[in-house]
Amino acid sequence: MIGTDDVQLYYQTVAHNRHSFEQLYDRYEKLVFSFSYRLTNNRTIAEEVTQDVFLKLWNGTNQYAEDKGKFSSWLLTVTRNKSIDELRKSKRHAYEPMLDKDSLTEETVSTEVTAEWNERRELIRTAIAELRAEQQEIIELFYFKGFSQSKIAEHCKLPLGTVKGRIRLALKHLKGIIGQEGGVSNE
Amino acid sequence: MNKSCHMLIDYFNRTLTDVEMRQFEDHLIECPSCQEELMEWEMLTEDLPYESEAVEVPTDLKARVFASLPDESSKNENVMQIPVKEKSRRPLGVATSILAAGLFASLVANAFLFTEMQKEPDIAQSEIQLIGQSILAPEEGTSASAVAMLIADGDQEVLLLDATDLPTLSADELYQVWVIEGDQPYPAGIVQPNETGTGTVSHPLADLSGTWDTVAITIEKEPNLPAPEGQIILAGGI
Repeated sequence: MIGTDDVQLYYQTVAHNRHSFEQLYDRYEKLVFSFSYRLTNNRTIAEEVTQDVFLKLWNGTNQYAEDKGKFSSWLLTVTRNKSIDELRKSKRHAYEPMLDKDSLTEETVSTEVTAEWNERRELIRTAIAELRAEQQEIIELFYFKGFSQSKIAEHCKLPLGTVKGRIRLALKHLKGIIGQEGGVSNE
Repeated sequence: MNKSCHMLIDYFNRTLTDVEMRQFEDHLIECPSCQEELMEWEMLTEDLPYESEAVEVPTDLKARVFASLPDESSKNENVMQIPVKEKSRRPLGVATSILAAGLFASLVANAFLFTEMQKEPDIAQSEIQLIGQSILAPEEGTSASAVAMLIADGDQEVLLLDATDLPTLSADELYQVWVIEGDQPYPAGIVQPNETGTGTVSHPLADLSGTWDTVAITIEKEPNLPAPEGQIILAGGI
């Protein structure tokens, strides 16, 4: 499994060891940037988010602890939070959305992280494709678009009280398929 | 089930207002069922980031990130070289393997070992444990930062503090470290920053191993006053 020494590198980063920080940076830069781009569809925001996420790791503003789960999951949660916040802020300021399809690339450098990521991506996409369209949509609106419960209710024409149950059901269904297909959903 | 529990999804998706966000965070501390549910949502969504298509990263992004880090190369060199010049190498070798095995910050730990080795070369062979650590948050208007670690060496506890970017003081001022237990502060060493604003201090906590939970740095006119009188520069829980 990738990143077995993530936690050690993290603590060394917090103590301002540049070499450890660089190792963590190289390991996760592309994933953080690509995930932020997936959420915001905007390269400028994805760049800002990536810089912010890593700098806050260095200066200790975002603090990880082992009871928060795996380091990689925590880092991606921090990335999602910042991406959602920045996207909302940019919309309030009527930012020009930058559709930048040219930037989608074939794999170039293959690191341990990208190799595992490629494998997981295929698995997740296959699993998502097996879900009913409504379930696919609710996951997109909830997780990738970060919509509020009421907005999801309105969009999907569902009673507000049922939204959470629907999201949970879709995610559990997805988790089940991933588990069956690859058995790597957790590790 | 409290009425706040219904806000969990909107908390997860950050669609709450700042006030609601803080209210929910207060609620979350007291609500085991929301804590559990939040973990469930995190678990259910942990695969999804990997669905993202790999996108080409701007080639200069890494350079920009590293350019915005404060330059600490001079500090690293000083601290790393000190132990080699001093005493025998044997305890240091053992110390190094302890460090590699643990989660100590090499920089800070070397400074600690150096201080301790001047008094007692064999100290590095005793059992050193990291009990807690904390990043001290700067007060408004300063860019200073510091890492505080609480280390147990046998039955002795030591507070180790490594600060950077401390503003330059006037001749009659000093940086006082405090540990605070409830409302009661105790002085816990003086940081003497070098010309780049960097300084490390290790302070034995022989008389201070109570239930204190906060570390702070203030600017004072006199060392080891009964209570801080000057401006707080950095503070954090440990």
